[in-house]
Amino acid sequence: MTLGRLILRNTMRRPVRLGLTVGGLAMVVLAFGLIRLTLDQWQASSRAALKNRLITVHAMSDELRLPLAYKDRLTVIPGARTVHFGSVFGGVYQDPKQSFGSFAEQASTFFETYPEVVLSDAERLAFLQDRRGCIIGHRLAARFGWKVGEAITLKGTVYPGDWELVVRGIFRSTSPNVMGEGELYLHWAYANERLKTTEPDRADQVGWFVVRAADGINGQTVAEAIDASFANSSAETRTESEQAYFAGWVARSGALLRGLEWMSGIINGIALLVLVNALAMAVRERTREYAVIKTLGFQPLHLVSLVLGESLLLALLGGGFGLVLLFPAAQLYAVMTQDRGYVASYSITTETMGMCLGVMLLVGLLAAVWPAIRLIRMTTLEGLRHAG
Amino acid sequence: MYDPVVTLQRILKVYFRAGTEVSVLRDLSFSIPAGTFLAIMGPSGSGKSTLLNLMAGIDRPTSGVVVVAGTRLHELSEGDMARWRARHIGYVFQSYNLIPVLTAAENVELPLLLTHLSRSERTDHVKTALRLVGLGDRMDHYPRQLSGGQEQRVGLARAIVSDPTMILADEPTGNLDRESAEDILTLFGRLNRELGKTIVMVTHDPRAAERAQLIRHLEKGVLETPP
Amino acid sequence: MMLWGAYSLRNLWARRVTTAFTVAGMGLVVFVFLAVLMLAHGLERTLGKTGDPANAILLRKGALSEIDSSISRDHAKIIALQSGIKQTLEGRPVAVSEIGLQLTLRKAKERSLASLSLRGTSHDAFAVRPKVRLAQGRLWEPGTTEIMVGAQVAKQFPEAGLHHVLNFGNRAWTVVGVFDADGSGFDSEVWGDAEQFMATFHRTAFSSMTVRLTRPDALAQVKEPLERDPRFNLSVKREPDYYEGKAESLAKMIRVTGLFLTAVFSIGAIMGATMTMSAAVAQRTTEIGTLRTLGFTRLAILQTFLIESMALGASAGLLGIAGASFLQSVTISTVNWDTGSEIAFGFYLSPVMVGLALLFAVLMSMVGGLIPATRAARLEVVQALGERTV
Repeated sequence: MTLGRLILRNTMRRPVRLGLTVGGLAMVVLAFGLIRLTLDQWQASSRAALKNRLITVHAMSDELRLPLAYKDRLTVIPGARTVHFGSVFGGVYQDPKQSFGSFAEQASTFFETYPEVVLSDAERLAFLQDRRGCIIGHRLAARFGWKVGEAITLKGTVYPGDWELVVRGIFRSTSPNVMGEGELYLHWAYANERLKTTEPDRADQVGWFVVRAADGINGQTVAEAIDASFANSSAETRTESEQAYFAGWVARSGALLRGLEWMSGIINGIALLVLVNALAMAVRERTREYAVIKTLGFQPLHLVSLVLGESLLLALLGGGFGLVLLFPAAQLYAVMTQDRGYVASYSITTETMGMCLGVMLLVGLLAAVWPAIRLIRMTTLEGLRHAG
Repeated sequence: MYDPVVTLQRILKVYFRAGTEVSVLRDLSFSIPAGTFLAIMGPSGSGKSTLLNLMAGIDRPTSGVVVVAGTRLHELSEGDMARWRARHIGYVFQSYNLIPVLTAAENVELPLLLTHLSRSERTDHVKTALRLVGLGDRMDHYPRQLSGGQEQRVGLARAIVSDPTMILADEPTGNLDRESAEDILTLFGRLNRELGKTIVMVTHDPRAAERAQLIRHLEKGVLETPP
Repeated sequence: MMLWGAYSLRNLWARRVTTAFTVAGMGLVVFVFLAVLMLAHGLERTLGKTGDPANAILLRKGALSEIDSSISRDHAKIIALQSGIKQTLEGRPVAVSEIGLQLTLRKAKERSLASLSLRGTSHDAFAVRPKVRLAQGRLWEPGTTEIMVGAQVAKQFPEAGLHHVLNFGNRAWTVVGVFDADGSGFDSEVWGDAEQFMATFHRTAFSSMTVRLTRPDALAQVKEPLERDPRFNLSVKREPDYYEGKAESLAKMIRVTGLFLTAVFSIGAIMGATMTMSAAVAQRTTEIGTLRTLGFTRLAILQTFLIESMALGASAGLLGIAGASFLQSVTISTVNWDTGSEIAFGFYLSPVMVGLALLFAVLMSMVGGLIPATRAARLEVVQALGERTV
């Protein structure tokens, strides 16, 4: 026998309380895990984004567009390999509440700019050859049941009018956090052509340019060169790496992210209270036993290790159980929050799991402090007289 | 061997209860020669348990000198006192105080965890101790599966397993029926005679005290001089 | 015969350490639950207050926001004469043609970007929206690059405070006044001269018109003829209806995420309450036996423990409410995903929510206390008395 076995037996002593404690802790770990997943998801896009893909937008306003004519000037910036551009299309299918992202992009440079897009050669060619064609992510296809070759009608918001498009390809993405799988892409040239007749003063404008820096060239230098070349013009630009651009968007929701972080801290407080409560009850019930153990010649440190061991064991059991629950719960959570515009999917990384367990270890350590101090302070005589 | 095992000099023990001073032991001095089986008798409140606890190193006198097994106890720190207890004292409680989640053998093994014995040596010691108290066949029983008398015998085995200098017992038969009490007292007698253990037993039961070699009476904190 | 009241409460007090831990744990759950409700409600309230039911907003048909919309100057002049639109004593229509824009601003402190809503308008805006009033400084001089900012902009963006200068479009814009829009979304906007904004943003058309109706029920009188007129291609909505859905994604995110998480860890808190009450029952087994012997019924025992548990819950509820009430002074400023621009809103606490939180807390504790209380009530007298309590 070792003290370890005594810790184990003590922990298992009251099965109902054990179940409730572990269950309570598991719920907290579950909630904590879900918050971490949400936060991870937010950060994921900017982490996976490419550093040498630069995004040039209008410096003054998110909604202002840049003149198409900038394209020629961008092409001659040293270090710029390809210059691609696109705009928000803002297509609505049937119900405006069922929104999804739709973008008008220059088709000829699209695939070179976004190598994440996985599409068969045949579908790729079909899209390039059909000006009224579009390609859609497989998640969008699944959502509306769209097939390749199907004609769909979208109502334009940014580009007014009804738009008849033909699905020419359904793609997957090698990096869904950067290149989503729930969006639609169509030919910018086609969208622009009709705008020339409906709203000519908004034609020949693009929402953004995407410049791929040539290999071995520092993207930052290229970005600075771009912004310098348009400084003091009627439409100044702001160029950032795709990574910085995404990070900037995430930062705009900073207050919400901080709220979530607060929440994840608070719920660990709940875990702490549940565990301290369970330990305090156990220690009080066993005061006499601890005093007997002390009488036998054990040191206060031995008693502390008994309590600490039990605390850590409970915390880890709770943490482990919570992690097991996290997998199905994350699925459910993903379904509930789908298409709210902020989360695509949840993947539980080892980092998240490590964080959950790490926090539980900390909770386990902290929870033992107070009961342990009480044990250290307890004199053997008081303990022996304790009625239980 | 320490002889005498216990030497108490001018012991004073005072408690403060509800603002008033209560002296439990008053200027008490005596010694216990090695190999004695001593019974200390007295009504409740006479201070006999306090006296035992002073000898066991789980309580300290207000003033006076306590020398047990050659050690001046009142000079030890808490930690050193615990180490000293592990080495020299086997304590038997009135209400057995076994750890309910441990088997008889594990309960007996508990004090051995503080020694440097190997696992197999520990098992040997535990078996010897449990056989000595007649429970060789109850090793894997949990306390709740044992009768009161059996529980106390496990308590006794726990007290002797680490071969302490002295065994101290606080009303060891107080919770037991006559027959079980006799068994325990017989065991004490054997330990004293056959193994030469020094035993100090506190009791208010004259029939239990009779089994000891020597009986001393404690009355209101003062030890009566033997006739 | 009733056993509760003093008896239950004294028992809670006797085990005050455990009681305190349980109450604190559940209190935190109530706090988060309430915080989520307050935030979602605060956001909806901010948007709900944006716009006046006596106003109608006119946008291009199909446009989901002012940014997609356009109304030409010529049309605007004709539209303002439509009957059903209120007129001043001098016979001028109470209507304002506006342009909605966004301005990207780098926050000085955090160095992060933010989009401010820019509203190019005229002084008529104050006639159309009487709830918006001047709080500091003065109105902008028409035809100049003077601007005013909403109260929340002044608070969240110190660099856009009174007397500060913003630079955009190669021009300098001086903040000459701060307006208070009564906690509505307008508080997160920057207002200035429509013509100046149009020139700077290279726009030739307005994006929307907001008109005051003669009577709140005169909407149809304005809506039908204007929507039918093929020249204008307009859609007409009541002003609050238009703004209400403007932060749906954000509100849903707060609700879904917040309540999902609250649901998850309220289960944890219920388990904590069950644990505490189970310990209470276990500790008092003999006591329960004694009470039963004295003639108390099983129901009385059940009631005692349930009441004790609910007292735990009620205290937790009060603790959570007290904590959450401090949030009322906190304002959150974040990007509105539906519009892309910054919106500030607070935590709003209503009496209904206080009741809801209390109910939630008591319900949690009732569920948690039910099993232990039932067990206590089911104890056989002899068995309870025979149980060793040590």
